[in-house]
Amino acid sequence: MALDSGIVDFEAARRASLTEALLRTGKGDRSAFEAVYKATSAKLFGVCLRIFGDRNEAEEALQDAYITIWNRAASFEAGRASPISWLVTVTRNRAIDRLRAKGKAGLATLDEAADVIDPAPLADAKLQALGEDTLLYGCIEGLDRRDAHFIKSAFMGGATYADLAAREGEPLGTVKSRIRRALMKLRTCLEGAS
Amino acid sequence: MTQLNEDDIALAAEYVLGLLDAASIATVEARIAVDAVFAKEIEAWRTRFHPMLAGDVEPPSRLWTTIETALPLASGQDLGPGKLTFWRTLTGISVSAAAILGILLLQKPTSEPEISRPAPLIAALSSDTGSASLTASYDASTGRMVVLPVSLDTGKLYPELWIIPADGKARSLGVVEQKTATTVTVPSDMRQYLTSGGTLAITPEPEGGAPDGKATGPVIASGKIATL
Repeated sequence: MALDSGIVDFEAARRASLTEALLRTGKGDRSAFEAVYKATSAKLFGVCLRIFGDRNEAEEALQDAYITIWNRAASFEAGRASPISWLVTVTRNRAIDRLRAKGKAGLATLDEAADVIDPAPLADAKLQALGEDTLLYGCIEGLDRRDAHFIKSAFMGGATYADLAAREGEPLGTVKSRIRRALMKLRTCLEGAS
Repeated sequence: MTQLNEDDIALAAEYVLGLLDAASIATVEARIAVDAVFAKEIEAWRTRFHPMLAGDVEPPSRLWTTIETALPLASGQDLGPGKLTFWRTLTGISVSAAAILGILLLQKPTSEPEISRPAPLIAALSSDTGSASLTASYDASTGRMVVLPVSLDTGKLYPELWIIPADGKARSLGVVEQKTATTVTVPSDMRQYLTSGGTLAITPEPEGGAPDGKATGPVIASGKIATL
């Protein structure tokens, strides 16, 4: 590889090696799994902390996520998703399942939800996340405050349409069309900015 | 399908956010399996929303040791090579079939599995989100069912197994283990319901199982019974 493309190659190489480690994990290779852990545990712990806020619960969720990753690595298809997207999706879904199993999903009121889903961003995390975070948050902040809460409560709090409608005391259809409009607005904002 | 309309795009977002009910999730997953453009839109929404979860934090170093110790054996290490292929195939089927149909249709594994006991009925149970999965095999000659969790976590609650035959009424087959295989001896009055086409399901329940035989928790995994 030419030196002048070093930076691009580094990212591509990192992704390729993570893909390979994940594929080998799917074949039961423990050392590959350890490599996956080393490369991604800080990111995935961040995901769990965002969902749980509480450190102990986030640690349990992270353990659970990696065991799920180990069990399901064989279903990762390199052509369909980036390895990090797959890992974040598995971790988020697993953490949300845990929230739901504990009966904590979708029950927060609007203000409680704000506390749960905006844990005072941990200092280093905040810096690190700035670049990718700002665009999305900028667009979310541009939505109606309630719609923004709905979207965050769903993605980070596990609230379904049914939960949100019950919480708001509104018909399902009303909540649904509101959120759909907000989602299209969000997409336009994100696409327009990129 | 090459063109997505606004409804499709919103549906993809709703799926990624986790807003949908089980039936809609099944429909979306069926479509992901066959519609590459739609599948790409799902990935695009994931990429859009993942920054909400961004912010690296190093976990404590002891966590790796805990995880490593808790790892189940690599699929079927204790089952012998023939069965390894068998369970692997089954797990693979549970993922792809769930994606295609939303419910599980079991196919015959391509290579004949080497199983020592007859297992004429089999089911792969999975969740709509893909987070819980189990396999069950039932030997009608002995009335025994072996339930093997591949991935299952009901937290402080206990996983209870249900059979839902054609009449749609769930009947309990008792509580099963979360981490290890459970052999369930199916009561004789329940055996009539264990037929191809029936559904097995898992709900989280309090200790001792659902009070009055009625499920109190949501279905976290389910799958159709099929003849192997």
